[in-house]
Amino acid sequence: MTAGNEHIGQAHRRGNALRHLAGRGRFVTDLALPRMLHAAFVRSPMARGRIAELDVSDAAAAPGVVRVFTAETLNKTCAPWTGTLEHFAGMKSAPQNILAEGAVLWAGHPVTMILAHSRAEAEDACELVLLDIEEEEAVVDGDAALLDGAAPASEGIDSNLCFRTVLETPGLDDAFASAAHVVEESFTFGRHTAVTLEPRAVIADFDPSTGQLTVHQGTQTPYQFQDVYARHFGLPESKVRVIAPDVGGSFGMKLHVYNEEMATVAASLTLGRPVRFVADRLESFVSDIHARDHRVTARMAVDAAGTILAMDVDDMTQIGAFSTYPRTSVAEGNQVIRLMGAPYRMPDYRGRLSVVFQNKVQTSQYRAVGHPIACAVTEALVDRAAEQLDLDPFEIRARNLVADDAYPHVSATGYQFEKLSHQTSLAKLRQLMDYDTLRSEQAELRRQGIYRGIGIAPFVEITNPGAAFYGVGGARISAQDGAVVRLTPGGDVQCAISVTEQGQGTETIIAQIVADQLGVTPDQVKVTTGDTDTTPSGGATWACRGAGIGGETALRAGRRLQAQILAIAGAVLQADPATLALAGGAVIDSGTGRERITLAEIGRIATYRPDTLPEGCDNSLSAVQHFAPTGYPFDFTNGIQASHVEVDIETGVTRLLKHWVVEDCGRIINPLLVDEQIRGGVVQGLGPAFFEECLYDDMGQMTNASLADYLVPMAGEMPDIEIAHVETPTLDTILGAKGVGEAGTAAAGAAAMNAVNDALRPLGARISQTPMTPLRILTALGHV
Amino acid sequence: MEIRFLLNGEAVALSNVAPTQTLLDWLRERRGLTGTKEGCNEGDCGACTVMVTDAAGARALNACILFLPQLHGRAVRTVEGIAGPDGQLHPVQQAMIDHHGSQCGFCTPGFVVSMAVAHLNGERDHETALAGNLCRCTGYAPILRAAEAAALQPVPEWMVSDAAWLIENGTPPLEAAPDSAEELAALYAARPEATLVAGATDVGLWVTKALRDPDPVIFLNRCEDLKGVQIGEHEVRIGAMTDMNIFGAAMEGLHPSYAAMIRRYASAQVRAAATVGGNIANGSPIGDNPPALIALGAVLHLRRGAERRALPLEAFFIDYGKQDRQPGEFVEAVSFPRQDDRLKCYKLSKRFDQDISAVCGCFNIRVEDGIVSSARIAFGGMAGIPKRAAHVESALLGQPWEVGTIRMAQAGFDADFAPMSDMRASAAYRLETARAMLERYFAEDQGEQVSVLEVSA
Repeated sequence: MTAGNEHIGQAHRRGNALRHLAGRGRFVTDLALPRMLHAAFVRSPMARGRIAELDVSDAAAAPGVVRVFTAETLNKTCAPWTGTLEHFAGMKSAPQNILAEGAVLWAGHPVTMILAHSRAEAEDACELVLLDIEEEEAVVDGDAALLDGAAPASEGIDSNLCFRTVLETPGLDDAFASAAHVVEESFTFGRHTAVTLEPRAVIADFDPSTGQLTVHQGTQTPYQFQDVYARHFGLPESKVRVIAPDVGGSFGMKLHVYNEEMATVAASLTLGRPVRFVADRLESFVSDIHARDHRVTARMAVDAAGTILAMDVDDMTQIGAFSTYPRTSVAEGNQVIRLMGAPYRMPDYRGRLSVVFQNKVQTSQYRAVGHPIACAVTEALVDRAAEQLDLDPFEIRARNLVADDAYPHVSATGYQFEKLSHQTSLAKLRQLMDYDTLRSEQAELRRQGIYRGIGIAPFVEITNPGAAFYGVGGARISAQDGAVVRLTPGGDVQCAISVTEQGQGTETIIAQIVADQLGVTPDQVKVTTGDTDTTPSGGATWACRGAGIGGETALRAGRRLQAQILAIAGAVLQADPATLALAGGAVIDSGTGRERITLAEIGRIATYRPDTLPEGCDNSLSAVQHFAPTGYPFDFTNGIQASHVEVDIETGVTRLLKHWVVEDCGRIINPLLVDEQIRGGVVQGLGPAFFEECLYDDMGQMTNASLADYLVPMAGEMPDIEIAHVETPTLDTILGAKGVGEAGTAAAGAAAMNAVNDALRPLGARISQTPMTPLRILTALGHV
Repeated sequence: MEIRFLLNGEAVALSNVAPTQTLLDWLRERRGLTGTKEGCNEGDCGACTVMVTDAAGARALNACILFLPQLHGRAVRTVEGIAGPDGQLHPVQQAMIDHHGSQCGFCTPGFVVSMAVAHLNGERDHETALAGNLCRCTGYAPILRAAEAAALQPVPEWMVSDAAWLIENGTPPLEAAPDSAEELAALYAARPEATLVAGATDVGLWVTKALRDPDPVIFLNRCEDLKGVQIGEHEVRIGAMTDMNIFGAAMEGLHPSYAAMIRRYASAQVRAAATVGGNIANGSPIGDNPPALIALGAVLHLRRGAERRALPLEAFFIDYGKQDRQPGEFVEAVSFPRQDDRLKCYKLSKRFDQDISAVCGCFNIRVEDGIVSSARIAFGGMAGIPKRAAHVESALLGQPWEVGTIRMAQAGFDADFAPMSDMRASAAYRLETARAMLERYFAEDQGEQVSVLEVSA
């Protein structure tokens, strides 16, 4: 045992900040290798068509150009990939390969790859490629795509329906028949995208003399890519090393398989030299996955007392020409229909999901997969019901949220909740935001013609996923994580772990956790992540698993090493290990706290004088631990958010005045990092609620693919965000931590939409489309 | 071309410099200074922010749309030069650690440089200073707290050493960068096919996004006599090369609504590069200066060789993409009469900061004895060029300054404008908000409080 938990729960500063502040970050975009070539792509300018002519001879002869690849020369090196999983019964998607063969399926679809000594030369040569495409009618709109006789959005599919499923409880029809009130609404959630500050970046480096492929890639999931590259290019897994150094933002976007990364690997394998691809901002907009793009029709049944009886939801989501690989583009919609009504006792439910192909950029998992849609729909309907019943938004939620002592609880959609704290969170929020004062201020200002609104939105977040997420569907995506904790001969601690860092502070919390197991300080623990050769294989970072699963793995590995150190100390000191503990960088007597032997001395003896240890004493100074959750399929977290806005009814411009979050992520390992995750998440939820949208014209062209035209939130318009916590640890693990990365994003947009509608209510207007642009608000008001 | 500048305290001399080589590419690809990041290559994200010092002081600029010749005789500090020579942290770096202002770290170098420049210049409006830096991880609050925390710390001595070096070491002339309007006039008359580069916020995009290679190029940034705002007894004259930060500061006392709009004009980095003359000469239908200047009754001063002419600013804009400018002719200045401040500028965009206007309406209406005695109203974003609302103006003129007149005049917008629908706004939205702006001008004039900051820029 150790003397105590000194560092878990403390607000430790992140160790890598100084590097970044000095400009010493090491991103893939900063890396240059000897003999490296630069890749650029010729892309389809049209959303749908057939390649009539492709002539690359002028490009091949251009200055600096080393090689030009087309589908004919590149695709054969790679086994095609198909973005389907078995547990999504009946889903389909056409196989994909690197470069477009015959058909082009979205504006931006790569057709030709050019490799040159510089990116500028490769780009110049792109201009010399003769590409003649016979344009065909693009499938742009999801509803039209499902009509009989609609042209298919890709080759080899008989309809544009990728997947359809229905969840239904037996009592649904009765619930609606018996309801005192039924509220109904149709919603549109726009397409948006991640806009990581560092674009996608990859350098593939194949050495034919050793058969070793090393891929430096800005990704969350190096082990997944090790597996993908090995399988699709026919390489032994041991000969594929994927290194993810500093990654300039990911948010789910950088864990999907993209044509350009596969092309870069294929080119390096063919040429036997390093090949680099870094997307420019326009390429990011037309090749990074997009997110959301849902049309939802939903109704809710309530009784006369305001009890929610049932929801009936139909979600149509539009995903591009293919389902993404290897996680599919169905997971988002699947979570949308399963998270509806999740915070409430609601007994009955029907959710229908249609996932539809079209000729646009693929959509797939992005921060808070499905959550913002489910939350916005549910909470808008709850507010509508409250309005019908003349109930305060807090009151109707107090009547319906699952009671804190009613767990375990199973939702109408089948999710199992271990223990949540909705009612405590609701009460805490009301106090935090001084709700009653805000309401009276709102009433006063309305008399002056100023329209302010207050919106609240409880939520649940899916974290710590087990194998039920992807593994059961046949995906080679690890549900476990691994850690190796070592004591060096000099008495320092190192931890190599499979969870990865993209700015969340993963390495900081792992150091805190390990430090507490070994009686050292976090700065004495060197944490290594993001390299498949030097860290154990695991799921890495997605769906909020770094703290809950990675942290538990580190804790257990630390405890194993602790036991080994105490056993060695016991042998050296001729003491019962049970009477010893670790603290202050030494083995102490747990009764008196007196130092007995330092960790440096343990390291020295185990390394240089193992002959002095008894036979069979483990002197490896290393502990390996792999851990996968075995209890609940997921650890759900919960919380509630509130938004305060002011709407200018003449121009439709909304000003965000303030935002509040009460969040329960279980055991808090580092309160500063938790608040950062929530705050950043809220802003990524508010962005698409007000600004962010990938706009397309009728021909399937994205019309705002630049940062001048695609608007992300800037410092000035974001509100002050106040955060409070409830702590309900999961009992599934020793650590008790759950995830927190998606909580902010899950409900920020829902709270904001409710706030805008609260502001518009006296004017009889409602908005149910995001982003809530000034034009859409004026349209809702009937002014334009 | 041969150029000299100071980089992180070290003198750099380069020869055979291509005129449109960007500082960002040179830093990252030639100099190995990879701390400065490329996030968008179009001046929108601030990840490439560097500090540039010259006789006018230190400013933050986007290295992605800054050409190397523009640095001739100036000093550059990148993120690698913000800490002290012995590795001492700059106060903003320490504050960013203390306040957790860095997550993934990719935007961090740009923020650090923007913050260090604001800290050096004593700017305390952190939201304005950082409106050109995009962060996707933090939600900004920790960064703003860090900027606030560092504000009162003293400026480290290495941050002011660049200016001293520049004074000690003069700069030799550079042929493509004339030192005066006189030299420029001669050079441009001789090479009328040349592309003029003022702040490069537009020409930079021709190079990085449109992949054009303008040649020859004449850089105007060394024409000191084209810079500055002269406020005379009867006239305000703005040199064409006056940057938007300087111009904005000059407008604070004269026309505060215009100054407020300029604070929302792009970002600190872009305003420090962009010039009044460039914004006019490029003739963008959505540039924010022309409507305000037209409403103020501005006159444009053009020069070709020794010939000078002046014309009302609105007459300069002939049609979309077409201005009344002859080959070899350049904008020397713009002037407007001194007047009591009646100007209100309304910039409407989807995002408050750093967003291109959907509609920019500028109103300058005078009332004597309850009767409208003059009205100048001009709009950007409502036509292919910046344009006056002539029907609205004449409907107001000579009428009593009251609600009825406003209602009647509002109908004039339909006659004045047939705006287009694009992804920024629909035609109906543009007309509706233009009408609302007139109403708001009237209401504000009557002393009514207006609720939302966003509109009254």
